[in-house]
Amino acid sequence: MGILHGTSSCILVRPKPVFKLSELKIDADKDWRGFGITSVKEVASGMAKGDIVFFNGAVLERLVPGTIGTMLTTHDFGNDPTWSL
Amino acid sequence: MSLLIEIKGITRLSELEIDADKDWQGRGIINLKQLAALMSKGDIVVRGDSVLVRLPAGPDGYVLTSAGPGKMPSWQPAGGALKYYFPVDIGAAQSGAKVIVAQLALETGPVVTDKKYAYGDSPDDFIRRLEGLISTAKDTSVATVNQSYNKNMPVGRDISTVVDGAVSETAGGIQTDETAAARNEAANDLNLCPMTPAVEDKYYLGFSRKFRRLWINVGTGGAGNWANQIEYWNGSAWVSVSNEDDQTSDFTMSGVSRMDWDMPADWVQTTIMGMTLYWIRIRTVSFVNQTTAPRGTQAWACLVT
Repeated sequence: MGILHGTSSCILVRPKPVFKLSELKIDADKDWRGFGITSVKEVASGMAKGDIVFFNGAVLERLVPGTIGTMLTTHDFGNDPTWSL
Repeated sequence: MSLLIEIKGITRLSELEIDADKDWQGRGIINLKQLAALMSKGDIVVRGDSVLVRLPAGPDGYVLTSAGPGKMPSWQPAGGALKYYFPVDIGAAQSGAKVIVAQLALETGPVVTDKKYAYGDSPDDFIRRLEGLISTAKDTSVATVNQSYNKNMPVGRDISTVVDGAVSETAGGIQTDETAAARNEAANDLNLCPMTPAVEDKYYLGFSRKFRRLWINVGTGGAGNWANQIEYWNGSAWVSVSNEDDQTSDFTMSGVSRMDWDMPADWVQTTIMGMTLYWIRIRTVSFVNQTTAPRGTQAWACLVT
């Protein structure tokens, strides 16, 4: 619990709780147990308008838009998709 | 002296105040039900203007098609990028297909039998005379066949693809990018002019190459009294096209109709809402009243002149 016990002169202090997400230390994976997270700005770093998300085998990665008219194309299982004509 | 300081902490995520972006420092977030609001089966996640948004699944057989950097991709019919495979106008006038075949056969050969059979010891009157003359003059066998056909069918007309840009503009000058709406099949999501409604309402439709025909699916034909005019950008001003043929009747006819005009020789690209294309604009030049606002569903530029 982090409580210090003293006899004559004692200060009992609990760890400082957090009230803001910015103060929350991210120290572990988190199972959201089916609850939703909405209005997420990005899941991969540096996302911009038109980017889509795919799994690269390790983490979610952004795929930037292709040139106009290109189509999202798969390259068999285990490979990253690309934009191509 | 004994001092106890106890500050109540949070125990549930619902108590956490979300007040900032958060770098998750490479840690995973797993088992998420959704990222964007109201996701359904088959939806994918795309970065929108500022946050992640859902892109609903497209119709069966459609492919995810890029609209270029900085723009939202959309589901389009497979082969929608046909123009990139055939970046030329296609026109075939096969005037050389005229073929004349003359079959002439004259079978007038006479068939003649002139045989005499006689027995050497037979009297003359026993001589069998087979002197029949068979002659066939088959005049009817003369046949003249004149096979003539002309294949001047134009090939490749009306090969069209969805437009590259669509922008509505109110008389007050407020522009709205409706490109994605013009490229998908969702009904009545194009605010055709007059949308305010007023004179000087405008609707821009652009394509990466010059085009002299536009197909548009008017989901809701407008009702009222107004007139529109088709214009193009000549490098210094918007000017009226020549020989305008508006089968939508100023967007009052519902269904898929075409707009035709003569290809302007001085048509040049210009930039509307960041999209540099060959643009035509439909501008409301007179307005009396409106009881039903016209709404569009989808628009295509014709690749072939």
